[in-house]
Amino acid sequence: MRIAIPVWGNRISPVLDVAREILLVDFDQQSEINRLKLPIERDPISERAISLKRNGVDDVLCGAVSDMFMNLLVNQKIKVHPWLIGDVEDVLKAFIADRLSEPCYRMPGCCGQGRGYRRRRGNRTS
Amino acid sequence: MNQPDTIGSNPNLLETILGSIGDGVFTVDEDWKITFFNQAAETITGVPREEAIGSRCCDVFRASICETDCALRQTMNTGKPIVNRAVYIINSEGKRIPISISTSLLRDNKGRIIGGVESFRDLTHVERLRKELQKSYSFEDIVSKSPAMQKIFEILPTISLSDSTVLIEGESGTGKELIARAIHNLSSRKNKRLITVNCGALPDTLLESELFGYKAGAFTDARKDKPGRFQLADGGTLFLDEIGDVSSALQVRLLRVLQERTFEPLGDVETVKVDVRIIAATNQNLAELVEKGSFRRDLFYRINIIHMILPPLRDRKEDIPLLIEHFIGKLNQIHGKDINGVSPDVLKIVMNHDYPGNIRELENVLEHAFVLCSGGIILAQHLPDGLLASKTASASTAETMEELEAQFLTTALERNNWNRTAVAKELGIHKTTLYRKIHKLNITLPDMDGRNSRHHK
Repeated sequence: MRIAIPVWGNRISPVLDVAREILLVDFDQQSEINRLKLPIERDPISERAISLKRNGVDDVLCGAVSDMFMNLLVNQKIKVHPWLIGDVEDVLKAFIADRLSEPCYRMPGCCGQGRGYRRRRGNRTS
Repeated sequence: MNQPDTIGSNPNLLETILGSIGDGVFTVDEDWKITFFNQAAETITGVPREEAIGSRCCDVFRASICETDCALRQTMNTGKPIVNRAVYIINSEGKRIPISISTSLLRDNKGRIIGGVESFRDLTHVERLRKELQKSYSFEDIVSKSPAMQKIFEILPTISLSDSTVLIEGESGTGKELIARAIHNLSSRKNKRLITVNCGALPDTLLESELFGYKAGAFTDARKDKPGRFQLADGGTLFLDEIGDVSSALQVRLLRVLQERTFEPLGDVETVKVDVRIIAATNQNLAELVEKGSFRRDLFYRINIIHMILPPLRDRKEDIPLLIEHFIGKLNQIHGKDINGVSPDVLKIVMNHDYPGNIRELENVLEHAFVLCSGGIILAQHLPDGLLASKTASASTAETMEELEAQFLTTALERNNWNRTAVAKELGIHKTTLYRKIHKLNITLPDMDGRNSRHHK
């Protein structure tokens, strides 16, 4: 499974649509086996979505994302876990432990009851 | 006697005032944590105040510039305020909200910097109004607010209802095919085909077989029957572009079709009858060609039933900002990009150009810029070199937006013989606004008032 996280320093980028760097992390079961950081050109969001798919991304953990970009990612069969904040390593650990719904990882105004959370749950297959 | 409350003596008063205004306002401390968040900020972002206070501003505000070009950070670093920068935020429903932001430093009563303040205005309604306005300047796929084009927009629906032949004259790139398409789409023939033939692009013999078709065996390579464009357009519309380039021999054949609506495909003895509406177009002056003897007078009168002249772009430069917006929207869709507009510099350059290639040239300029600009605003460096060179040549004539506006208004006044009422009408602005601009831009008016040749006493 390959996770993509837009990063800004050591934190999740606030807006996926304009993020400049993405961290790709591969997991086998619950163990990290590889990671790679890539710059993102200021491509149109449609190309960003295609590029993520080409890079084999299964899930995106991100902050704010526009509904346009969200739809493009969903069309590429990529699961999106939006409205997250915090340190990238903490968020990754929380994802593996299925603790992303904890308030400390939720963006203000989207605390577990927002559109992103509902969509996230709807998109999950497990 | 009780002293009235002042903002300085009563902090709640300031909060009440900021709570009652329509613009969003928030303040941050030196750690970028939000310390104040007014009611409008809650409404625009969708984030409740209690969740915003104490949070990092980028996690609450979620603006397109937070990561790369934070306005508040620039102000904190330079001390200089930023006024009305256009960006977008993503609200808590995932909608992109266009806003304009202004920033300044926040100081305590001893003048020490304790953070920053950012105010922002929701431009959603402005955007919607702008789009509505643009719609009123659009007809089918044609965009213009110039009086000449508006007149054409007015008569197009009526023209479309008739079956009369239309002659469209206009320089290359002025949108003749768009007009033909609009006429077809608005007519009762819209469910049948619109067939376009560029008469100037094909050699005479090929054009003849294209227009009228041929029977198998009509010539060496004619192995099977091929219907001509007249037959393909049966029940619909045939658009004959560059009709001025048709040879004399073919003009005779065309004349017969237009008169009798019948013709014989090459090598056929059977007469074919068609029901086709003809729209012809040319970038030449057909009347002049008739005088020179290179275009048949009878054919000219046969096609010159409804006559339209499309003005070149240099005569309707007021359309350039509208067209830029139109093409950016179109190119954003085609290329899947997110370009918001052009910089004031670019607008100045494109307004100063003469456009021998007309609207098509402007579209090509923008397409060039789209390739080089990955997002945001199109800047001067994204423009083709040729346009930048012409900018250098014309730079001395207009260095600022005010000069450009003055130049534009002076040209419009000259064009209308200094008649201010006519200029105001042409530009779609109120006469008072025009007078205010003339005064503000120090435009010197001649003695005559433009309504007639009288001079003021």
